[in-house]
Amino acid sequence: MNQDLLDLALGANRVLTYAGYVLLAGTLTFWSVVWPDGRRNGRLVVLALAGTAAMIIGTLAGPAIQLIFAGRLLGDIVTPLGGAAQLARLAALVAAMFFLPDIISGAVVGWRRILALTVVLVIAASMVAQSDAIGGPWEVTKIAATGLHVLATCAWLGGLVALAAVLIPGDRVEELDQLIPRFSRVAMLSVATLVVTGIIHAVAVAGGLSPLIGSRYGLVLVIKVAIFGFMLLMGNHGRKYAARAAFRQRHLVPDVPGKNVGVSGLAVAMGAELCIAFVILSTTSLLVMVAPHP
Amino acid sequence: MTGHPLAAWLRRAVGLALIVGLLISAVAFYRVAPQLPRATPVAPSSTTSPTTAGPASQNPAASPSPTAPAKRIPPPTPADRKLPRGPGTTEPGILLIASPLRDGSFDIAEMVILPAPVSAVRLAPPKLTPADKRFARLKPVASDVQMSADNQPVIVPKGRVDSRLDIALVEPAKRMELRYKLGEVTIRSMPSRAGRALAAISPLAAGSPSLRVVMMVSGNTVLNIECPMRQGISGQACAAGRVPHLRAKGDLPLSRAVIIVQFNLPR
Repeated sequence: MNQDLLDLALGANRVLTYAGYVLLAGTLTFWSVVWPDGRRNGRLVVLALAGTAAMIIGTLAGPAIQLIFAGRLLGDIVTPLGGAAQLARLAALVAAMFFLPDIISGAVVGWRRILALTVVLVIAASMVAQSDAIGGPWEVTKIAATGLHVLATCAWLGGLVALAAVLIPGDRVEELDQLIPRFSRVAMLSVATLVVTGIIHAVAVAGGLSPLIGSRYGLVLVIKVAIFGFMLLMGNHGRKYAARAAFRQRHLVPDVPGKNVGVSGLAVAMGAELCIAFVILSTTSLLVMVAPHP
Repeated sequence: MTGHPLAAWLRRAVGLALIVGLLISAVAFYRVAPQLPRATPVAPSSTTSPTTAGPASQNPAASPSPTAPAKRIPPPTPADRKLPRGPGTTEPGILLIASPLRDGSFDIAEMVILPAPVSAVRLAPPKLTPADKRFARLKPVASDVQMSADNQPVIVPKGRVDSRLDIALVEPAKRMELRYKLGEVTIRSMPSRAGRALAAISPLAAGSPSLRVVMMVSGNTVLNIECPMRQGISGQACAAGRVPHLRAKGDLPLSRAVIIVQFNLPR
């Protein structure tokens, strides 16, 4: 396989892994923090299982692609810490797969919440261990920033996907009214964390502001931040739209009986937001490829 | 959702067994990973190729620190360890052995066997720009040059080679040995780990472009070797051996005998 094709395959695999992480860790966080009673929602269960499958495939396929198609040796592909982290992640994914029925056997509070969040933390830690936060100057700062960034990503993007899965059918005004304010608080905290940790991480990885500005890494980062800003605007628009729709449906008579205009408008806004989220994940995958190496 | 109690217990038992197995594997992998086979000794997190260690923002001017005294780590000599048979030792060609010093320069031993005796030898500092443009601003200089021809000492003016230099020999000779310190061949990787650097090395002895050259780099802080003038990525990723004794795979014709060494400046 030529180098370009190999890079493409590895990039696609990285996007699959990130998407899997967002789906699984995001759904577990959504259950634990936003909607403990949402365990009965079949769509959320499907999201969690799809995320688990995507992460397992992504975790195994990364080294396999390099071993089989690039003819590289295992010692060249994974560091001791990176390989151990991947195996620990697989253990967490197995836990998610085999113990999901127990996690959702009741409201996700108490030990169920602890189990769900432990799985999220182990997966997040394994991603940090494989990232460019390890090694080089400012290692502790980079590890802390990357860890918080990864956790905030799953809380925000994963929560958004879970919210969309629950609300897009358009007939769940009760949940809409209850979930949007709760998720908004989580989303705001996550976005603030993403902004702060993103800046710290970028500066630490590039080795200062000047090298960041003059590098390809900085350019891709600017693109990612622009897309991120656009997504925030969409999210704000969607949130306002949803609040108005919930109010209308609860307190006003619809113009056309049986037509849920507000919630379908929300579906469009959230759909656009999710598309942008996918672009952000892809940009992040690109950032990993052009990041300066320690 | 949990199904039959027996099935649920079986599911949990299988899940637990897998989790425990994977966690034990993780610990075992962490312990044995340093012994895993690898083509290059560089850590994968730094993406193996020395050319990727520092992005375009590298600052050649930031290379050897004038305040850092050079700590001599002599390269292996025949007395230190057995030299490989082949060019420079048993056949016509050059064997170059380099070791990094604290200030970014290299201590180099160069053994030369020419196909026929010569009465004059040409020495020239390495030309690094064709190998990698990042080294364009550097002006390599060999200092403390000691030379012998057929075991007889040869005087090198000022013990320094910073431009082309022809040296006449008293007696025609075909076997020569050079020992010198090669400076101004290192750029520090920016941004990168503190002390990470790239150096370009090439023989001092000039001769037939087809003369075969074997290049070795010794030192515990050496991470990787690349042969930038070879064709293709696989040809350029030419590191072989294990730290502290790395070498470029095979031999190189003198006209293309340049290696780029990724290393950490010795403390």
